[in-house]
Amino acid sequence: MALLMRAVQGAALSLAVACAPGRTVVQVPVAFAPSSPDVVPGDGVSIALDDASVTVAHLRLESPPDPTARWRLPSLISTAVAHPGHDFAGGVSGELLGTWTLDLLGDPVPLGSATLQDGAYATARLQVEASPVLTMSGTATVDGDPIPFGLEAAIAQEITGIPFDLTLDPETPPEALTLSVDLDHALSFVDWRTDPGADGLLTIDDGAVGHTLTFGVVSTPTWTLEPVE
Amino acid sequence: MRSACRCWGCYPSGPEEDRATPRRPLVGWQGPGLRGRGLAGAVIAAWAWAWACLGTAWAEPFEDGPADDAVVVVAADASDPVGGRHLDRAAVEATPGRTADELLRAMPGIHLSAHGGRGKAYQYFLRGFDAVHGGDLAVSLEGVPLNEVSNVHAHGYLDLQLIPTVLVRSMDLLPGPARGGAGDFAVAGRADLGLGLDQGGGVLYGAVGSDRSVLATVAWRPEHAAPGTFVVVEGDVGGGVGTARGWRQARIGAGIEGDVGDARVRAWVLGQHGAFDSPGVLREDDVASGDVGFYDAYPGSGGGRSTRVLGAVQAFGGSERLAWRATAWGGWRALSLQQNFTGWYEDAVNGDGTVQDHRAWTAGAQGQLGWSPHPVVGLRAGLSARLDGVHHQEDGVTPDGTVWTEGEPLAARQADVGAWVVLPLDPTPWLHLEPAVRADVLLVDPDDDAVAWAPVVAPRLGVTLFEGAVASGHLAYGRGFRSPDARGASGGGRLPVAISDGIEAGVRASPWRWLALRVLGFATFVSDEIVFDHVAARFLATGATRRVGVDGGVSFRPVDAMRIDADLTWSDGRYTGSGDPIPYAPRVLGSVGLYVERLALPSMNVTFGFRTRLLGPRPLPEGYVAQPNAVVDLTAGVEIRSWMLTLDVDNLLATRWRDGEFVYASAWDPTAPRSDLSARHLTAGAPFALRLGVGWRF
Repeated sequence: MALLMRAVQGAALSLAVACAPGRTVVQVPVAFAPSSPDVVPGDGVSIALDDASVTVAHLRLESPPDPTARWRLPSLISTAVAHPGHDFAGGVSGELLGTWTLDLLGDPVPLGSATLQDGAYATARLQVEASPVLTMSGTATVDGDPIPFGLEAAIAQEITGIPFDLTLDPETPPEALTLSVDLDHALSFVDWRTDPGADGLLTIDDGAVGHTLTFGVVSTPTWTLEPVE
Repeated sequence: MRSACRCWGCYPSGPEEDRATPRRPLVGWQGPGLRGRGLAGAVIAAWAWAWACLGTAWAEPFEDGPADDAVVVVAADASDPVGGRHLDRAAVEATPGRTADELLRAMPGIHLSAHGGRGKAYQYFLRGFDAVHGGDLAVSLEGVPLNEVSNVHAHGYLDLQLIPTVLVRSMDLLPGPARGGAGDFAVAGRADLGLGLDQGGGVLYGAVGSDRSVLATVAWRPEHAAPGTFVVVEGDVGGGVGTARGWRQARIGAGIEGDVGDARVRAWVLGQHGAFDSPGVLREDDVASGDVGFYDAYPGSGGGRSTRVLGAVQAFGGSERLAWRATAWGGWRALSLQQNFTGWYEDAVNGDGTVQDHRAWTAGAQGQLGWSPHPVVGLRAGLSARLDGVHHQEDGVTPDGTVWTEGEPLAARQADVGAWVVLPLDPTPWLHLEPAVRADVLLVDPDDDAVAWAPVVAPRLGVTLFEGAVASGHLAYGRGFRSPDARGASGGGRLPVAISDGIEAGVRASPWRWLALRVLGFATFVSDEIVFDHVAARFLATGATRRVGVDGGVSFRPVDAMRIDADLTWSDGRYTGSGDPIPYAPRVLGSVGLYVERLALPSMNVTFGFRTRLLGPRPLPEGYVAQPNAVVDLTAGVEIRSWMLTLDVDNLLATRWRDGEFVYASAWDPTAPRSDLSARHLTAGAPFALRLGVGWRF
């Protein structure tokens, strides 16, 4: 009887082999591509950056949300509905954990190898760390007038919804992923024409500069994540 | 006799624990104060003894039959569903299983997962349903509902630790669509347990197990008294195999049954108190890397304490054409569960542990009537009312059990008033019809909110062709429902109710007396589905689902006392909207068993049960598939004159099987960066363990 049972058990385990055990995982290198120091945020303003750095952490890659939707027929008996709030974000299917202080004007730097599960991706998110602080310094030229600036901000916010369109086939994974930053967009919300301190130097405490700089840095279009085929 | 020694006197005691003080490590959790409650225990024991003595004097010499016949006449279902199974006491004894919960494994198409240790309710899977902790499986004891409404851990929480297995006199296991008067939680199926001591006299039983367990049972039924007259005291202590698997359980039961005029009257009360560790889950990658062993547990994995008292007074009687039954019940419940399934994922400082405290009372009554005015038409009808009061709270705790954040308490009362009518019709000798309808009004009255309510109308129909012939055909449609959880009631008004519409069609055949076959197909459509959500690490309702499947079985009985049963159930459950498979629910479940039921040999009776359970692959979230398993359990007993020798073996082949697998993100190292990637987690299935017992009848 024991032999019979072992045979049954073996058959059951054979069934397991025939089934997909889970999602395939691949490692894909991620690199950061810096920006040009010459920035044109618009509105007649041009900026020459001397220094720009930000500290970010934990790149997470998300699957598309579940598109499940249903029509409900009228009924005498009410029916329960799903718990709200859990259908909008897709699950995290890939990630690269770590903390990096990025020189936004320097050379491309490798960040490491991300772990990606097979399947579709739609978005990414990235944490901006408060320490070391974000720094931006240089000269903005407004209508021909140079305005030097030196900005430091301790931002602790998450950048969510970074577009990341990829369907990962483990047989043909991308060679790499490139994270890049658009400083034209990041600095486009700052009011470069107004110097509330009237001291000739724009700082983080001048008016709404702190808020607009933060808004621009964590704004979704500021960041791009793309596969390199 | 399968239960064993659970000695009240040797049950360890401990001080009452304060919520604000650190809880002791859960390994070796001690019951909160049987010493402190020793006087109460002694009073209860004395009362129970007196009760039984009264029963001796009251009960007429019992002849098995009349009382149960009356019950059958007024039962909510007249004919069993084709996939149903009835086990009498001899069959129960031949069924492997240490607790009343585990005996439910005799139901075709069911899987029980124990991710909470020996003391917490199992997680039930039935015919493609993830019934969570009982939300889709209605279980009753002598008709008294056992599912707990709005339990803090899960709505419909089904904990059978209350019932000593020695008192399980019968089991009706009825998977499939709701029929007749089936009420709340009868979504995937239902079961009813009969309560009583099958044999007169006393039994003293003790057993020790390789899993560091000791059991003791003292049971007594006066000679010539009815099975409903009994006293049982039981103690069960064990350390388990591996880490954080200890338990302590004490159970007590007393019942009395006799005639009052033309009516048979019985009353019974059961009490249980237990404390237990919970090993929780392990990450598969941690097991693979050797960071944790297969039967280990993470620190702060949890545990709990459970206390429950349930009692009922029942009367039934009538004549050949008119029978009635009335039941009133009441009970009290306290449950405390500490758990952590995600480590430090949500909170890297305090951890994600929670403690759930639940206090509840329940009371209810039901009356049933069966009338057979004419051979062609009959009537069965019933009324029921159930009222529950719950108070619960969930707090955040650190791994040592210290409460660091308090949750919002919930206090509410919940009511279910229902009525049902069944019209059995036999228009021809070969056709039997059972149209039925049940209507309920469900009420939820939170302390701090308006009263909310919901109506339910549940039509049912059973059709049987050629009943009693060599082959009979069966068709059934039934609507089941699950009442709303009080936590979802806010703002008053109409409440959502989960409903299921199920159909099944099958054939049962018995070409020879020793062979019975069944095959059926089923489809079930549910308005709402509860799954374990890895984002919140808890159960959530996620939408409409449907299931289709096939169930088949063969029962071979070469002699009266021996049977070989083989069951196989395949089901495919999917979300209606997306077509995605319902996670966690097994697609294939099977069992093959050899059962010997009190086989009379010269100078001895032999009981034997040898069962292999086959658990097929289960779909998991994100494309994962759980491993299939095959597990063999055994029970055996020899009764020679006044002596009994028993052997129970869990997992005879010592398979390292997984009775639960879950996919979600967790973080068990608070010093490492938190990964959001989903990972496979497992709960270890019962390891190999054997238990030897000796009993003496007096």
